[in-house]
Amino acid sequence: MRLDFLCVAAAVATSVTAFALPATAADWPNQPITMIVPFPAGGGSDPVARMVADGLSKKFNQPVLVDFRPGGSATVGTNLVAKAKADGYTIMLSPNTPVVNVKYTIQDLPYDVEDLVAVTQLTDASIMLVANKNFEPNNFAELVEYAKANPGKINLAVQGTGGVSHFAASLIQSELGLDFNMVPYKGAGDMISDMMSGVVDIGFGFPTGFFSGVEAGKLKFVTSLADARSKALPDIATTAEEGFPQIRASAWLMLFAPKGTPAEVLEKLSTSTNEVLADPDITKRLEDLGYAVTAESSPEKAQALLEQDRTDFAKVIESGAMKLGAE
Amino acid sequence: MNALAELYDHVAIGLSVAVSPTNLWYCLLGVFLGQLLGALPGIGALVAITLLFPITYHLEPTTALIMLAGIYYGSAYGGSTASILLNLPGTPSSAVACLDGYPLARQGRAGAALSMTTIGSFVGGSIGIILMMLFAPTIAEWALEFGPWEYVALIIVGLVSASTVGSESPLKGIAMVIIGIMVGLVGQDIGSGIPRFTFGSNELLDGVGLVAVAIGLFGVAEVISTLKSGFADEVNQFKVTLRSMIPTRDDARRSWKPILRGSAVGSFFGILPGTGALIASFISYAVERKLADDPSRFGKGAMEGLVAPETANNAADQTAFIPTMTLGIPGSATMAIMLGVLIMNGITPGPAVIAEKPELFWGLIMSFWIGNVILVILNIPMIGIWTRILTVPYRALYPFILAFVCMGIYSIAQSSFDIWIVFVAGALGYFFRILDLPLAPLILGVVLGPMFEEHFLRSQVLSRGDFMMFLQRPVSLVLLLIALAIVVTSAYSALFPRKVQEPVIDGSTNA
Repeated sequence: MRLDFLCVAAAVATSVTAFALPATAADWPNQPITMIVPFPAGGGSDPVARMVADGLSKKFNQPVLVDFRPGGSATVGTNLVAKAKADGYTIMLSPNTPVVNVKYTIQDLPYDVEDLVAVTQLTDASIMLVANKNFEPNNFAELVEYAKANPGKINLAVQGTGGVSHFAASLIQSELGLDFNMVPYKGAGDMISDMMSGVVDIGFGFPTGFFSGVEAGKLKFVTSLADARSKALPDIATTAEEGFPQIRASAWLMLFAPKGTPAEVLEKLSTSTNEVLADPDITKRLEDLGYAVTAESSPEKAQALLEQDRTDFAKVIESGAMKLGAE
Repeated sequence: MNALAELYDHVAIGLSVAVSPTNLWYCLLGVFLGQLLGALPGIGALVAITLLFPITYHLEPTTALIMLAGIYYGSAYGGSTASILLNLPGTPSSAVACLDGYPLARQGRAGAALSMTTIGSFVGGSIGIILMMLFAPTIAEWALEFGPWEYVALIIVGLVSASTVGSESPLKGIAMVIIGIMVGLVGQDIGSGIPRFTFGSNELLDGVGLVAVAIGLFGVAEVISTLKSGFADEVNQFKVTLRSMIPTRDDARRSWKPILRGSAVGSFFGILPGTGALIASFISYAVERKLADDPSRFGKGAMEGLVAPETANNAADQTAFIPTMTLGIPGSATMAIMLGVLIMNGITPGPAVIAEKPELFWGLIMSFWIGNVILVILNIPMIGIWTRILTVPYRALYPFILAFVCMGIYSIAQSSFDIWIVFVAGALGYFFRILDLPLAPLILGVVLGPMFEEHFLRSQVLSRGDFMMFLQRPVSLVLLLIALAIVVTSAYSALFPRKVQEPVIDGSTNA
């Protein structure tokens, strides 16, 4: 019927890349590249994707098209890339969720996380521990003391089950033997609002989301879970500096490709991306958005970081601190 | 006097920014595109903004915000157009406009209906803007007092009033609300991440798209039932005359109070982060139905039932900027994008930004006003064109309706799965129509069900399972008492119906 026709037409229009010409690694890229982002347009990774795609288009003299494919907790878009031809013409820009966390948070995953390989790391962002202004502890060491004295009393906002804040909170619980009252949130709006009013005491997130609350005198930054201090917040010490190196969480954005993509293609994509990111204008715009720019990544480095994160995540899951599914 | 002089200064700064040729041009572009894209089914503010977001990389932050904001509130104006003309909710928050707007169009009064919603939208938007100018920081502080307990109580008020929307029978209303809640609960549980009602489909993990459900239930079901009844009598049924476009004195008399009430309801809900405009439109419909002399007119083309919710969602769209601009709290995905524009330009929204960058804050606010005026000017001549759509024979029109529905829905997430949802919802909608079951409560259930669950879960985690918190917090207590009062008055009038149908002059409660 008419409906079938429309569906088919729409499907054909969006899968032009399926009719890719046979390509060899040497002359890659000789046709447009599709960069799938498994999140909605307008989301956090949107500006990064567009900036990188724009830079790569100029570099390759081939269009790099950003294709937002949200849905299924980012598994719909990721599945497309995992099942795509490993020719370097379908790549993905994504944070860790669909390639690390999903293994534990989603049953019946349509792909294997090993179906994707890391190409290069684009950005890193500091995960900050933020507290209501009236919350007693001012740094991480004080927080640990306070939490030991008040087990189960600290209300901690968790945004997204199985997400980075859930991971960070569970890591602190399991490594330091603490107990928080974890309060679930879906969106950042409700969470920031409840943190400002003091309904919850602490939460995690990128610096940019909390600047307004800090300036309004309702929130304070406590510590950073990144390896180095955030450029935007040079006064806030990291957990490692405070003597807790085991408490670290990273929030990177990486490019991924289907497993089996030729090594020369991965290498070329990584080198070109580094050149795009090294442009001072792009570096500055990304830093304004709260990202640290890694213009020195490579397929090996990115894959190593990915493996490290998978190990860390698995460890927290095994410790039982991260409650997922039925208890 | 001092405060007045200060306000005058702010308005002057704002106007000087807003009327600069560049800003004026992007304001016009924004509202025009917003209005146009909002009228297309499925393409709401979020899709429209994300389409045009890349342009903002090359603009000054103030100009970028003026354009994005224009798209945002412009789409609220456009959203009701397709609801009224074709029973197709252009945006979820204009689903309520179908209830009485479409019957009005069937009576040949589409022009008057569009004129009245334009006026209502303008007044609602203006009142929202005035509130923002005078009390933005105070209101934002006050909105922070709304914790999980208050949201739970507020949603209970919403659900209770929902059962009175769109049907004479509260029982049917409640049944549809519950079906809606079940649809809303499809997806991953926020506490444990366990998938519910997904039947193993990963596409359903993030839940069922609200827009797809609304368009299917109202629009596609309408197409099916029209096809079923045959086209013969549909051709050229509507004559578009200038007279039919001008609202009657009766329309104006009936509408001015609903417009004011709608503005109040809308302004209130807009301030609370969340799906403000949508809930505001439902609540204001329920309020009008409660206060009406003759509630049985609702759903059959009552002007009040169209104007009040349309006013409310425009007011809510304006006041939704208050938490975003003063506290940096993104109330919706759309607001998060606008927040992103500020952050990308190194601007931190907050009390400081109003003091340090008055040209940004006041320029934006004054552009709202200019944008609203432009929308009225754009809308009035458009009404004549829009209503002409109705003179097209239905058998020529419906393929286009279905095509636009598919394109709009597909554009949200490039997913053909959503198109199937539309058609399943359409079939269900047709089935419900045969059974004479009201559709609006179902939509509200879809929205409020998951919100209720989320806030309730949170309230219980925070108070360690203590229900007394609902009664100990004053705002939540008052809201719960209001909900109780609605139930008691409804039950009372259902148990003790008035025996004689006497001519009623003052407002009376309905069964």
